[in-house]
Amino acid sequence: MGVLNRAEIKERMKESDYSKKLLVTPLLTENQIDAASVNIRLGSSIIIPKKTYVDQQDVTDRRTIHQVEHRLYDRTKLKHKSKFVLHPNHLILGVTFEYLSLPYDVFCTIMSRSSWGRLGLVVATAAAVQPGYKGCLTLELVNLSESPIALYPGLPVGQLVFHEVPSKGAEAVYRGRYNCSTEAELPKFFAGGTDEELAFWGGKS
Amino acid sequence: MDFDVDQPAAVLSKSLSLIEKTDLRLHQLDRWQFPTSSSELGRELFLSALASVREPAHLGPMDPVVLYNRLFSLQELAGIIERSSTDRISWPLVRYCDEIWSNFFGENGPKIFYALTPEYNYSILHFSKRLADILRDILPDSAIQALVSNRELYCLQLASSEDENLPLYANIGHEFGHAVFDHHEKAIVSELDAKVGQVLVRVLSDLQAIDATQASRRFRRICQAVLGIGEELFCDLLGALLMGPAFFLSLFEFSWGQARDVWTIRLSPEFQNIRAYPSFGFRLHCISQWAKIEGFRSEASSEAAKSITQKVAELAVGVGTIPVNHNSDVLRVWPASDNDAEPIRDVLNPRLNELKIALGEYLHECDGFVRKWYSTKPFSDVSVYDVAELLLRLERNIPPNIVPDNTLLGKPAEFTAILNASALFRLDLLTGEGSGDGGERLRQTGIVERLTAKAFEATFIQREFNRWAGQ
Repeated sequence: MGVLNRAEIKERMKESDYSKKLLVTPLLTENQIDAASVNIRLGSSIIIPKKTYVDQQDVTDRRTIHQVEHRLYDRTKLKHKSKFVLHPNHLILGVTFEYLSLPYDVFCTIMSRSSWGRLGLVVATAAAVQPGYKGCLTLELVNLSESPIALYPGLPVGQLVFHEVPSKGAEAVYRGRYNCSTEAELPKFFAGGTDEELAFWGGKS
Repeated sequence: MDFDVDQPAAVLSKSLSLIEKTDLRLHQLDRWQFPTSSSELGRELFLSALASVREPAHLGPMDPVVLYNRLFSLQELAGIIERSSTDRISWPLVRYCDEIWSNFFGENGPKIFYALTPEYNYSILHFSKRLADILRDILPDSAIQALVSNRELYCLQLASSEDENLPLYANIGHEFGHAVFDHHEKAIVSELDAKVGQVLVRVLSDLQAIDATQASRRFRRICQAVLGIGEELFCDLLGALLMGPAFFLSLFEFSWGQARDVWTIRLSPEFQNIRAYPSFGFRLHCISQWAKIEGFRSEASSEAAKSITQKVAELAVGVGTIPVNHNSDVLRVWPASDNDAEPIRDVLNPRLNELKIALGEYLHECDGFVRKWYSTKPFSDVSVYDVAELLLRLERNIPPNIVPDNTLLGKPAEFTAILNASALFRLDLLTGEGSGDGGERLRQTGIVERLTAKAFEATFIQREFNRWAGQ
């Protein structure tokens, strides 16, 4: 499973057949493509967890996990050039400005850029993106430093690293619950996949 | 204790309390939430109005009861400013709207801000005029003039959040048409009079033959209705010129489940409240001409367009099936209990065809006017090839934001090209046989709406970035 370098990334981006094309859109400048990665920017949609009186988030409880969302989170959209201050030890959900479309033979990982990492900003904890995925990526942004960090939509906070994978056809392609997302997304427990067993593990089946 | 001793003073204190509460409500709004800076103009204007009402020189002569009533009317406007929040309004969409608006009115003309409405459709409100109307009986004219002069402000009320109202986006052009109509009312009404006048002379003669004693009032009510119809058609013309086929598709979707061949007049005791609308059939017929539907269809069927995606030709065929027939149109007048309803209906129905021809000529002249007033800047034709490229992306669940060029970055798509590609694609999903059941259609149209909203954001940012980078 090799990592794509700049030339390979560009070659796959130039592909005219959309089913084979590696698409990261919009690219504002070719300089976003690094030696073996593509820099990605912070989008405008964010979800802010609230201090709340909900006793706990129990993902095995199908009945309440989605009902309490409005008590747990605020959603907002940052305007162009507007500032969001991320305070120490705070987690927010953000989104990439870029929309991604991976061909069936490319797997992707998302990670912080080193300069931002040194400031204490972590951009993603769930870093794997499956082949065939389409959509903007939800970022888990955490400030691990001791001082607040100002964020603006458009800042290049992360990078995508692409890995070529041998594909055995459609089985390998992502058809999950987050496909075609364009905004920061809350977890979608019980929306398919293997989540049915969550209730079993929590003794609620 | 005599509770009935001084009601005016009691009502005045209630009024002053309501002014304080309203003032506080408006001051507490977070400007960070306003989708554009124009919302701040709305707040400032409103707060200035409250300050003026509070001035002792103005409060003294006021009738407290009238003041109290007017303050309740003002709550409607306060509510509009409160509903001007980026939480539910797509700022990229309204920034595009601002660009269209400034093409019409420039930097020094009237301004516009954006709010939500619980209604289904979009509507535009002449905010500063409405404010002045409410203040009419409580402030002297000089104070009202001082308040609103050089602060002309409109409010476009959007139906809901951006990803649920794709079919309504194209109606923005129609709504802006009302503001353009306001600003050129004299010239437009004069043209309407020139084209429709002869028909109205014959209508007056018919009314006199029915009942000469009632003819004058009925005629004035008809004139008011025709004025309303003329304004609606003018706005349709603007909508078609600005948004192209997307506006045609949008109006077609509005007509679903409604009679397409009915012209409506709703009478009211006050002339200015008489409302009148042409039939959907006639409106679609007119819009199809001004949105150049035939040209779009023919170009979309060309080999060059089909080589990008066959879908564009298929959709062009679909557009051709939209009915624009208006031969069986009839006019209905409401309420039936109004004694004028039947005679008005009886004199206008036989002259409907004459009226349509005259209105067609009027629109032709209006087309010339608006192109002269605004050059061609806001009215560039939609490129079929750009639309085809964007359809290709939508077919693959990719935002319709880029038209390929010979670079890796591509060219950010035009607002109207995105709008048209999305409108075509969405309508195909809703009506196409291969779109699955209701749930699947809902899921797929939801994706198109999200991708479209994303495309507006992405292209807006990309163009701003390119401008900054000098590309």
